[in-house]
Amino acid sequence: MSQTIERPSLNSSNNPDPERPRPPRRSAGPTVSEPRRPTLLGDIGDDFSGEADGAAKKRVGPWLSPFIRLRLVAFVITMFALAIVLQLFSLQVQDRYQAKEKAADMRVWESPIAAKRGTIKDANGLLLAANIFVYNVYAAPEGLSENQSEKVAARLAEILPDVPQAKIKEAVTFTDRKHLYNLIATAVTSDTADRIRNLQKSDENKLPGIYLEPKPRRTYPNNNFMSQLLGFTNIDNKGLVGLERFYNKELTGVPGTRLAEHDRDGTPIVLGQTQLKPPVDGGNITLTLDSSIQLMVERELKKGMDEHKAEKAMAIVADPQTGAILAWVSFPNYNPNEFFKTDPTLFRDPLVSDVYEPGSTFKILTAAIGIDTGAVKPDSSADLPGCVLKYGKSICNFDKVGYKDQTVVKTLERSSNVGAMWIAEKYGPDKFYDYLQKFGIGSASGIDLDDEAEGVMRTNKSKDWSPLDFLTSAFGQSVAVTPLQLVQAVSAVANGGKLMKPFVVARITRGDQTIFENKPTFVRQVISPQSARTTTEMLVNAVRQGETRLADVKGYRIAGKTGTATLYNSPLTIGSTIAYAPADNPRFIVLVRYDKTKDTPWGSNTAAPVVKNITEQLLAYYKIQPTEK
Amino acid sequence: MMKQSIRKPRITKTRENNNLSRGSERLKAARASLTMRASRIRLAWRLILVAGLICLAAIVWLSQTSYLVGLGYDIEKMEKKKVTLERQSTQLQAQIAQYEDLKRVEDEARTKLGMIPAKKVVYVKVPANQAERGPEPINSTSAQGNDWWRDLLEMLPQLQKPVAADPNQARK
Repeated sequence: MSQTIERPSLNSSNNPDPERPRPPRRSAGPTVSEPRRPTLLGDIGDDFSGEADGAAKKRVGPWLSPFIRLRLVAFVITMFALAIVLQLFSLQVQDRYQAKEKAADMRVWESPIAAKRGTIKDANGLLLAANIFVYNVYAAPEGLSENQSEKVAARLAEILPDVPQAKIKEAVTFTDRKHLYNLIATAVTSDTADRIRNLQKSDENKLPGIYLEPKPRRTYPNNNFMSQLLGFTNIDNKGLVGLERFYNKELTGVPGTRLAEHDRDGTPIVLGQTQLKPPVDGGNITLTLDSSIQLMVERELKKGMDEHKAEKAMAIVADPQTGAILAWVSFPNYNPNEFFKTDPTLFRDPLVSDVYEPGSTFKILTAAIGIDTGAVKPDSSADLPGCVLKYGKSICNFDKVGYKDQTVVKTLERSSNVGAMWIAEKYGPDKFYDYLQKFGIGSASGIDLDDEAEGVMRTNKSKDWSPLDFLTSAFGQSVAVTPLQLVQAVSAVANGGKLMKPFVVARITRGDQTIFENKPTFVRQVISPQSARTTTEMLVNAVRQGETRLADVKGYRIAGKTGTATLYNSPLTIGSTIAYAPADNPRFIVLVRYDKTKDTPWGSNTAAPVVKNITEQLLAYYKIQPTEK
Repeated sequence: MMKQSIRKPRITKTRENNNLSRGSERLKAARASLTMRASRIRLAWRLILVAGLICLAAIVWLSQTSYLVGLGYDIEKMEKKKVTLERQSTQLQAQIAQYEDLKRVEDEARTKLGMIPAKKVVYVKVPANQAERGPEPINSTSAQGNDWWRDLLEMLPQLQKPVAADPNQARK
């Protein structure tokens, strides 16, 4: 049975029956009549034989036989495949690094992470300089139809009334691929940005193709308050003036970066390679200044300025024991939020950058030097005229009145210029200038503020010095100081002879960490504590019985001195008063100065009452009880 | 003839032996084929198991990856939200600072509340021992007087207690 279904093998070698005739070999040629076997390429058996008949030749063309064409196609495909393989080899093996870099550039990039600029607060934590966000409005008009562009332009024109409608229309209309993003408005407030966002969030996006770019910006919530001290930043948040400039590095912080793989929309891929360098935010500055005192001083100073029609007014309140500044006021000032609209001359802080001749307030130092050197005592006296001729120049008292047996105490009480010269002559220019330098006159105090002036003081070692300079310097002419230098020097008299370095920044913090703390810095002992006490007693007398009596506060011992300096280029004067209280253990020192007052030239009339008002309120603020009835 | 007679049984035996050997070979072949089949089945099962495990691992890996990618997008969204909230926070801080502007507070106090600055400060001398002790507490019963509704309130301690216990409410 099995034999009946067995297929005959075509292979002759396996033929079981050797007698069976073999099938004719193909090599026998077409002469043997054998049916043609169909092939995958069709009926082409004869063409391979090399003896193609005329009919077949006609069918495939005169030049290329199907065999050649087939080989040709195979060759082309092979070449093409080879080219692909070679190109692949080139890309994958030879140029793999370049290709890798190209691919990485397309999806891996570094994004900056901005560091937050630190804030500035007063001693009570009141925010004086803060950060807000403003927005730049962009249009990406590529996908907008004409109808949509018109609608968007109309809606934006309502929201941004300050921007010309033509500009909006131009920005939201697609022109060419060179203008894919068009800026419509800059520094738009968050309220306006919210209005744009709300329209975009509505069911049907009413403002398609409009984008908001947030930009951090500095803001000063109290506007003009402390403006000259704080300064301001430019649009890139870089401090340009004042504290913002001096502490720019500490406030700025260090920006971070994020190197990450991004998807098509630019969103970082979490699973991809990420290198995060977190930003270090700027430090938050806490000032020594107290806003309550500052506001009170501003109010009183402005009142006096308006009353006496002064061109300028300024005041400093400081702690003489530590050198910490408590109030720092000067008028006219400016609004740092609108610095671009301000006269640039106002950016200069006159309390630290401008010098003036202090006038009779300088007699405090003249007297203190006299006491400390032992050249004079409070009751040392002389017969002094109202005017004296010195080196060809007549120098007079303000009232040109002379007194017999004029003591040092009376010299301060009557604010006598002749008396001051008499005291200075007792110890001579060497000691005078030596002490003044110890008091910090003629050198920068080292306060943490920019552009501090050193003052002008010609000593007897200067080339252009004359003995007249020495004599006039004794009553505060021919010597120029900054208001801060005077406060620092008189503070040394108030606190027992210690020169303290003034400072406005108490500390800088980042989070809970204090990165910098300004501690009171003792510079040098200028005069002995005893000399300081003696001088203070004379100054208390000057307030109680002298020209400074308008600065007196009932029940308290106030030490102080008024001053009026003449100006070389104007008939007007600079009137000032400096005082500290309580005299025996001073808690604060106040300097008030009015420039070019119109109604009265005297500091005793202009500045002294303001000092009194300030002192009264400060005593109440610090809850200092009266010591006398 | 003898040879023939002798040979015959031999032939038979050989055939029998052949048959036996064929049988045993078949048996062996059958066994071998069975063993092979069993081993093939085992191999197939193992392959299926390995393939299954690979599939499972792939599914787990894919699901975890997709979950992580999803989380990544969530993190990104949250970070964006955090940035937005921080912006709002700074904006609100600046707004608070504007409201805290002392000039504004003073104006409000003067105009809305009719307040004026204290002109006279009176200091009361307190003996040192009393100053350390602090002020005498106000006698609650004497301050309350004899109002009938206070008696009623005293009878309802559960209403009074929370008021005294919660300092925030007390402040209100």
